Amino acid sequence: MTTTLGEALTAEDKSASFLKHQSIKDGYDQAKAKLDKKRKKLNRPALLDTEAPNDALKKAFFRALDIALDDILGRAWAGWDELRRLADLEKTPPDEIHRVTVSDHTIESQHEPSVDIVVDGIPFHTFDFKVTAQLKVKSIDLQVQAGEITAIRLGSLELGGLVKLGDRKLLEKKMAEVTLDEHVMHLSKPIPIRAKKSHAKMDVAIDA
Amino acid sequence: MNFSAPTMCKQARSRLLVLLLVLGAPLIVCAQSQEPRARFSVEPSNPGTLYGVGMQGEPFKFTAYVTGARCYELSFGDDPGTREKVLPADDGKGIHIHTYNSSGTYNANMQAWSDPDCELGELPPVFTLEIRVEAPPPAPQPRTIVLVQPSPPAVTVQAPPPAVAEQWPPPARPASTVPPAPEKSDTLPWLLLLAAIAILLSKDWGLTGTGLVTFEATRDQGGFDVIDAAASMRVRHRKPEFDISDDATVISVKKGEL
Repeated sequence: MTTTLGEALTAEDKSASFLKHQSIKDGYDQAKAKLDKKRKKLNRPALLDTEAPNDALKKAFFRALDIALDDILGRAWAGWDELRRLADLEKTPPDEIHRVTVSDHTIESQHEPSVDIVVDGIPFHTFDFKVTAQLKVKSIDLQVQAGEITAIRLGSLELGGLVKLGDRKLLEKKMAEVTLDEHVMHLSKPIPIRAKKSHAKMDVAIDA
Repeated sequence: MNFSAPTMCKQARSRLLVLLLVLGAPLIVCAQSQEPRARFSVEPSNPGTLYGVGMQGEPFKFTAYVTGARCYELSFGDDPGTREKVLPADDGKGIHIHTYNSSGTYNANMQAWSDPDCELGELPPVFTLEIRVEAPPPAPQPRTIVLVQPSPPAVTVQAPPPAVAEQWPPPARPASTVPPAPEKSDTLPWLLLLAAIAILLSKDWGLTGTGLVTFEATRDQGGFDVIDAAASMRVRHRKPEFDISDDATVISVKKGEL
């Protein structure tokens, strides 16, 4: 499956017209005012009057959500408690391949990409997006080997979601079926099933 | 015992030679040793210390290098929840520019990962640099300059910041960032005027109304390249969170491939 989260969320708005929302324009105005204050002599604020930043923001937004849907599914399952026991290499030899059948369920993924307008290395405005996606999956089989998810089989996948800028809603995508190119996806890069320990270590690192 | 002056001198010289050889050998070995396995540095910084010093609003250049790293995760201490993912360049170094918006002392952390998504395969330890961000000095009081004919135009010029060149290890920072008080002199106004003209002539105004600015969304995963004299969009990520609904259960586990 090569569909990305950005593509799936904007399936009905491919030109990403929601990025022309008033709150985005307000953001440009704020950046312009700051630039104006700082660089009056260089006449740079006029740059934000062009269409270029719009195109760049769109490009940046899609790059931020350039995450393959199977990657989202794999990463969600990789942190799932029920799969962790299969990652215990003492109990399951590394050459043993398991087919794990999982009941139908929903995965919610939350992403918080930020896009900064940067001029000469100095950020002048930040757009803080909040993206929530729900993925409803049916008839799931996972192939697990040596503590890694190596392939995924899906009967069907539905996706819906919400894009917000701060607290303002920019886009709401209703739950709709995503066309799967293939029902069995062999992951080119297997996703290791995470142990809880690694999470705890990350938290410590954040506090350090 | 009786020592003549030339004999004593000769003995002292040979002892000095031995001392130099003994002390110098490890230094030579150190100098020829291999590239260190890990480095985390910041510019601007104080020479010989493990902390960076710079001004609020001034870009700090962080450089990370860990052998085998495929992703660096940096945090800067000014926003505890924000972490930047930086992908290494061909030389293995991950470079990131960060600007602090308020003065204070911050801890910048670097964690290297063997995974290009900074998700798995931590390469310990976490490196920490102390960053001391100073408030910008107060603007100098405007001076009235009276000039005799011919009257040149009054010009206020701010010298451009020096270009930050790629350098490893980071260059020493001047001890003081406060410019020395100008000397009182009759020639000072003329010198200032000449300097202003020279700066005006030499400065590359680049983007002034010529449409040269190119906005470019730079690469994802938190890394970005600052394009000189240009504007860009920088993408940053927080680590995504996943939640699996309670109705998910493993129905069966069987041996065999899909």
